[in-house]
Amino acid sequence: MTLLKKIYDPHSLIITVLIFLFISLFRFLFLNMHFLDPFNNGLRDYEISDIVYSQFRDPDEVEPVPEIVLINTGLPDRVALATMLQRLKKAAPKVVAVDIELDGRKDSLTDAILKAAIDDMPQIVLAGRLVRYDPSERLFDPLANCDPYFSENATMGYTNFVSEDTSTIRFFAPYEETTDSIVRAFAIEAVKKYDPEKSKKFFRRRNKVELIYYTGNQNSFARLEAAHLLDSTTFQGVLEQALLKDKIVIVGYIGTHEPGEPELDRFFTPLNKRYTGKAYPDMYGAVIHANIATMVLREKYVFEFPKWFITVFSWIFCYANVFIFYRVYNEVNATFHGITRLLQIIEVILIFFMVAFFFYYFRVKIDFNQGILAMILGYEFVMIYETLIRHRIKFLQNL
Amino acid sequence: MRLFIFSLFILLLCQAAAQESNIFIVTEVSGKAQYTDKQLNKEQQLLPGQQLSADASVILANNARVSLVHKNKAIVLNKTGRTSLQTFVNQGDKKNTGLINRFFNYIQEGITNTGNDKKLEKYHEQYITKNAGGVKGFAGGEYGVIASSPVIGMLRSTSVTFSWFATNDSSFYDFQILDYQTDGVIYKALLRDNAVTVELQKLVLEPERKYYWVVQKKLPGELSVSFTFSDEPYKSSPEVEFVIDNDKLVSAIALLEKEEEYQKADALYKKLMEALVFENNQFIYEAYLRLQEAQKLAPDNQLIKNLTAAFLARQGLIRAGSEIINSAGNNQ
Repeated sequence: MTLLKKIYDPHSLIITVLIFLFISLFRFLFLNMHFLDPFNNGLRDYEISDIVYSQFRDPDEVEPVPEIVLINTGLPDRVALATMLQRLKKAAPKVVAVDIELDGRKDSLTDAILKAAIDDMPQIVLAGRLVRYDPSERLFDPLANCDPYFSENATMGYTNFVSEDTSTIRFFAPYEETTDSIVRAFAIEAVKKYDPEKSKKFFRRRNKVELIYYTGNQNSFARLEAAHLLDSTTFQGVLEQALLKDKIVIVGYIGTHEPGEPELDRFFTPLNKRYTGKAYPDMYGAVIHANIATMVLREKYVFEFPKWFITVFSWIFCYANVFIFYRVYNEVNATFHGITRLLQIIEVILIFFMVAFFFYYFRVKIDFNQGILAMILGYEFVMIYETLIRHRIKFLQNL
Repeated sequence: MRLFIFSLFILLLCQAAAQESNIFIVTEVSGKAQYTDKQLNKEQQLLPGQQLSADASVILANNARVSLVHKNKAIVLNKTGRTSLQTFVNQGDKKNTGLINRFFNYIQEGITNTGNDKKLEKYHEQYITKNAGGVKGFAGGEYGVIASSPVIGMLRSTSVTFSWFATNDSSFYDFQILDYQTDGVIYKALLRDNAVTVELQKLVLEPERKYYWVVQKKLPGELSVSFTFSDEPYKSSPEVEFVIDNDKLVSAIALLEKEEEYQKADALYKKLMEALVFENNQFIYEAYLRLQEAQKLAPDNQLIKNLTAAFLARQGLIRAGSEIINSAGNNQ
């Protein structure tokens, strides 16, 4: 009780309330005046976890994922794709996930060859896309960008990520409802075929949107070229070494990031060394799918503290800071500026370290931006309260 | 006896674990790569996904490249010839810098390199070069405009001719030089010709700052005052980056001039040596000029034409290189 009395200060509490009111007002204004937001396309699109991925991970360290093999098809015609699929069947992978949209029909003969190759492969997952959402029904249209001729006997998954066009890919939706049925993400369909138990465990998390834990870029996965399959001698080597046997094979356009390459199916991810402003998209879509599949297979999920917990903690943190700042302001006014600024810098570095530490070692993501903002505003609000507000309101003077 | 069996078991277990951790996983192979180990009598083709033991050796043909993962470390092999994997076994044991070290390095780096705007900009540029992208920005790909002269990498602030292959479907070309950081236009011109000579010394280009040039083809109907650039690559060239640096070239020449072999060489070989040194220092355009001068000195020398073609191919200008070879063939 005495402790509570010691740490209770009505002025600090009022200042804390004012700070959070200000933050809420600020957010409301900026939500409604999008054009005023200077961080709209720059700084806003990064999180501390991006710095962990891009700066704090050892750049030479690679976690190999032998269960998944990538196959770069380049930009093949349908006959070449059919030949690749026929050869892949011989290599006996457990799942073949084709990250190439087979939109529309082309030549009837080549289409028939490709369809036969697809139909002959029960372990195939084809890529589709969610294109239109009906907000009134809260349903998507059926998966598009894959002709039903090819997909009628195949499993389909959508390749969409939860992100704006140019922003960083951090999330994906495990499943969505369409007017036809429930559809699952492309990588999840692949995992479901590979290890149904793991996908069941994943769905038990019941997250509508899931944060992607990135194991690594394409160095983590073995990557074959189309030529490795199409060349008979090399393919013989693939068969003899059982390089694809019982694996998840993700087939798609996966370039080498050489300059001048067509920028196809390439996205920004938190692994991008340049985490703010203009940069090169750093990861191919197929590699992102491989990362999602790895996350589910290895059950390496990102955990987040509940929002209510973060909010409560932010309030306590803000109050504690205001309490100290207020004391310093009233008791050692001459050094108020120096002490509070120093405290703020130390706290920001410590919090930054703690957030990085939890994400790096435990994959726990803490979104403490609000708490940090409140702490930074604490300095200004103590001064505003003391110089502008308190002496004008009698009630506050008597507290 | 029990103790002996138990010790033996532990020993075998440790050995198995050590062997397991000495596995090299092949993640990527480009070009011709083979491997051999104690159990193999002859060299076998190396394929991605294969796992190699530490006693294996990798044999690379010219321009081949292999990426491996060993003890969670990425290894890239690109040296022609045989490389024993044994050399990497102990390297994998090197201790990593931990999170705490990297964290404080990051904080320190941020503070020391961002003291003022200038430092921040410099820091950013240094940061950019560590990224994918590199300086070889010509590779044809799907681009509609293909460069024909290698204006890339380091440039001196002198007169430079930017050129590209004429396209059949356009009447004009919109040529621009832009600041890499800000995308601010430094120079622009609407041209009928597929080449333009720019006196870089007259432009406000800061040394060691990154810029890029880009060309977009335009039809008469597409002309507009604002010169808006299309994002569609088939309408334009790649964005080719360059940096102005006058000092580095001077010191490279000074070093070369001290070489005895250079002093003894005749004019033609001097040009070729200069070209090699300039290319190694990323003064690609200067190297190209030297090769052109060498061609002028010995117009019938097939070797120099081949050298120039190979040089252009190394820069990703395959078409320009093959045109030199073809023109040489036609001359004969």
